[in-house]
Amino acid sequence: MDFRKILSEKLIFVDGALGTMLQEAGLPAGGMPEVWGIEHPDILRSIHDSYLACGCDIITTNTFGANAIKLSGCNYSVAEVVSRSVSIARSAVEACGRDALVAADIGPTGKLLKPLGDLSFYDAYDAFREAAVASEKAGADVIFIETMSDTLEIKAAILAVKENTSLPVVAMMTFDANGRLLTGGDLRAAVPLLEGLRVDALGMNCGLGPYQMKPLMQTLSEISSTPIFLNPNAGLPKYIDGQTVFDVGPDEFAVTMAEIVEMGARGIGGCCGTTPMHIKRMIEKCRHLVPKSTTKKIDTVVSSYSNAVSFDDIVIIGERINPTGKPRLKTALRENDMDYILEIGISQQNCGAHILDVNVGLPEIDEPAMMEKIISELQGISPLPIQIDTSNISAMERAMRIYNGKPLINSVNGKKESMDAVFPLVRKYGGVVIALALDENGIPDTPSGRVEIIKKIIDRAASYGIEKKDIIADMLTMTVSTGADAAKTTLDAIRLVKSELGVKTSLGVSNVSFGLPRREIINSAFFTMALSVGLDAAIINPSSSDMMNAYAAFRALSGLDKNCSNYISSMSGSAPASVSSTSESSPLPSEDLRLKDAIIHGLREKASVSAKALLASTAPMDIINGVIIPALDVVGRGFEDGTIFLPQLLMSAEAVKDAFETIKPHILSGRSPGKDSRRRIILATVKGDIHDIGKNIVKVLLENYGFDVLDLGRDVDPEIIVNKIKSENIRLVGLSALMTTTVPSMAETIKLIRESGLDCAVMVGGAVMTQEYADLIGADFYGADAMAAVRYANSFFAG
Amino acid sequence: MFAIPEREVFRYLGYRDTSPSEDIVKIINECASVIKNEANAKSLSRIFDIVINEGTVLLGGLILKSKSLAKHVKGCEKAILFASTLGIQVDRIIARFEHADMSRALILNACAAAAIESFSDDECKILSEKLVHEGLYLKPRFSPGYGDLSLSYQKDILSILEAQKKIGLSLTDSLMLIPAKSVTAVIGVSASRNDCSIDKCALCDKTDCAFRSGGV
Repeated sequence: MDFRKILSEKLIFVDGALGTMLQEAGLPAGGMPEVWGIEHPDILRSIHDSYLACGCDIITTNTFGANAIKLSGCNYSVAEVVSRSVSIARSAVEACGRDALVAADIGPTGKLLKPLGDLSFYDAYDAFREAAVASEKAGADVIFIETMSDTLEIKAAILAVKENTSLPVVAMMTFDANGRLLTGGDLRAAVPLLEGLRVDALGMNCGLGPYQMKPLMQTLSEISSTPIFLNPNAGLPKYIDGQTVFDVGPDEFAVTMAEIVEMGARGIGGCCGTTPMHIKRMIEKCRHLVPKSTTKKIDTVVSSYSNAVSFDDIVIIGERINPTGKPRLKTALRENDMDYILEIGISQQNCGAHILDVNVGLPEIDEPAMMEKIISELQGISPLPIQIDTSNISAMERAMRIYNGKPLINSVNGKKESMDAVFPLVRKYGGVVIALALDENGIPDTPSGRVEIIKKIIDRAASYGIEKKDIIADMLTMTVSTGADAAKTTLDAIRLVKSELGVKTSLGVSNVSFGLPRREIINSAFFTMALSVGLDAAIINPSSSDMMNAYAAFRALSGLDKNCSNYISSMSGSAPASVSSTSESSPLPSEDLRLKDAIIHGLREKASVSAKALLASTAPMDIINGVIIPALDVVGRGFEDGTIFLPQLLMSAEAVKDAFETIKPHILSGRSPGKDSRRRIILATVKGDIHDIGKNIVKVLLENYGFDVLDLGRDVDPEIIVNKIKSENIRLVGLSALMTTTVPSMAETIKLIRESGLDCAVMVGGAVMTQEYADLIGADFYGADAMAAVRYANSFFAG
Repeated sequence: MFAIPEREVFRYLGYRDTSPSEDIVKIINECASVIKNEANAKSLSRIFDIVINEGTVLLGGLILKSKSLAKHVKGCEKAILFASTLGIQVDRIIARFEHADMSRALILNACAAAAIESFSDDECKILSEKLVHEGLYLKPRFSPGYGDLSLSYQKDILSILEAQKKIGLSLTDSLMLIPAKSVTAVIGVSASRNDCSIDKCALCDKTDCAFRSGGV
């Protein structure tokens, strides 16, 4: 009996709960079901036998928590727990007298993945790989990945199974009644990711009873092209006399499950609280139902952990994370200034971008590593899907591997080499890919020539199992100043490719105006023209009001914006900041006093505007040393005196940061202004600690005062800190720790620094730190608050 | 929906006896709205019979070695294991602002800290309303990390409550709760109303804490 075969032929009946059945049989609260099961094999075997007696096609093994992370500290190895559990299930199947399959159950690691948690994607992958390999070895027929609430974690599990075994995979997640995951994602975002990874079936289990799952089943049937499996709980738990009781009995369960089959489910079973009687009644009721075939959905969709973006309405792709022509961004990439780069992403999100392009192609950096790092961080804080923009195939793969969702890939083109490199990645990881209408012969002059290339690309993609819905055609924007027909050709090509091939289209709009003055005027007009011939997505700068106005106007005019309501709300209250008019109209006070005032009151925009105005009359370094630092000192002293509090201190610090950003381009050297390379400090939150708000506050203040801060981030190994001290010749390190459990890491780090004989002082801080602890672990200085670190650093480098 | 008490936010921001200026209060209110929007607050609880020996509390199959806990639940025959969280979206929004606007990140963080306490208080109130009919009262929450109740017991509490599966609450290797704005606690259930509403800071030994409420 083969899983994929029966999946295509019949309705599949899966077994019911194991965990709650084991608890009934004596498993103590907080005990490990996987271990208890192999220590009481007769009990486990009898549960399997009962489900098989009901008529189940598939029984699931008692290996829900059988992974290296959950079993750590346990007497049994993962391999042992898995193989013994699988063989108990196997022997039940052998003995039941008919065909049935063993599904090896893989549940979550129990930890949250980085960047918000402390489990790395790779460690999660390794744990799942170990369980998957042991399951196949022990004779499982299929793998059920279930009860997952984190899309990144389920991706690690699916890849681990597919790359290390040849077993089919069913992937199920746990949603709440609103279709949301505990990690903030939802059904509409999860499905594209799972389908991209080409699981054999997908669905949901646990968390809800069958009645609560019905509306979610409706949504699933509308968006999934993949067969759907549902394993609800026996209703919702009630606590009666200290016992957990589920409120849906076998008959009620069976009736609702039959309704769920009518809605299109292909595999049904039960989770917590279900018993062999629930499954028996369910099978009796559903046995003669004809399963509905799953229709292929043709929507073009990309997703993040939380947002699904469909290309039915116009999609704005924010282009600003791209170093071309941006010296400040190039510096940030070289200096690993994550804050600057992430801030650009967030700013585009605030301007209304739907997708964020990430391009870090700079020859002197490690592009694959940087791509992975930025995407990892960005997807932890922004809900927008990401466009992976690179011609470096290694960078593309690394990004696609850890991307938490179904990505947009920029790009593939008609050259054989490009298609052969990109399509295997899209097949493996899933994604929508932008196809450029060029090939070995260059860019065709005619619309039909470009359409031919798109056709070639679509046909080749089909040979990889990549459907047309996952291809977006970019008909290429050429510069109108060097070819009069350039714009017209592109527009005609868009019209033609849409009518002949029915694909979605995208464009990088701004190329059209290269070499012309007032580019934004041409760009926004071209954008509108392209939208009117059917452009679906555009790669633009969302902070350009010309472009976003064109977008809003087009939507209002084309009927996409009902009642023009979006247009109306985005246009009201969008008067430009009146800050500049204030400073222009009043003759006094002088500009430097205005800057000082803006800093003291924490007024970011005013600080930026004043700094810019001052540049007309004052050298950058004089502004910094003569106005900014003294203003900071006023605030810092106020903080130390207790008249100014932390929020104000930070607002002032942010105002200073903005003033610096304005001054930066005017400093001749490539280095950031005020960053004295002789005053370099490493900051890090020690190993095991993932909270860094305090350290980040210190960083902002130190940078304000002109220190060059190397921020190593959080959860940093002692060795990494020591190596950085050595390689960068650092003389002062700041370490932060939040909790008593991580003070030992701090002690270890200091010990390693001393043992390496490095001439480096250590200042420490953090919620748990005290003068006592600091002395105990051999720190040179304990900073009780943010300004203390600045004072110490100043005196350290002075004397 | 839980409330975010202004005074608590002021306290977490370091304003002990004073109040912030109007423009900062405005930002605090904005941040409080953001936290309420992003929160997906959930809690779990389970009641157990307990046995108290010398400095040990036996609860379910769990042996909690802690003199301060034993003292805190003295006279109780039952105790509740409690866990609550605001959800991971709150961590995300704070992290997002750490990159873009540190002062707001700080204020969001303070609002979230006040929020989880307020939410937990609300959930405990619901629990106590159920128990008052049986003549039982809840003592203040006593969390791992208080007194000598080891942080490592968080693992057991989360495991017994199946917290990761049910409310997405887990621990890092260094015993930090994730999502960060979360609570785990042992709540004594007493037949006597005495000592059942105490200022939380009064329970704690750290008299030199910068955030201690109600004066030192």
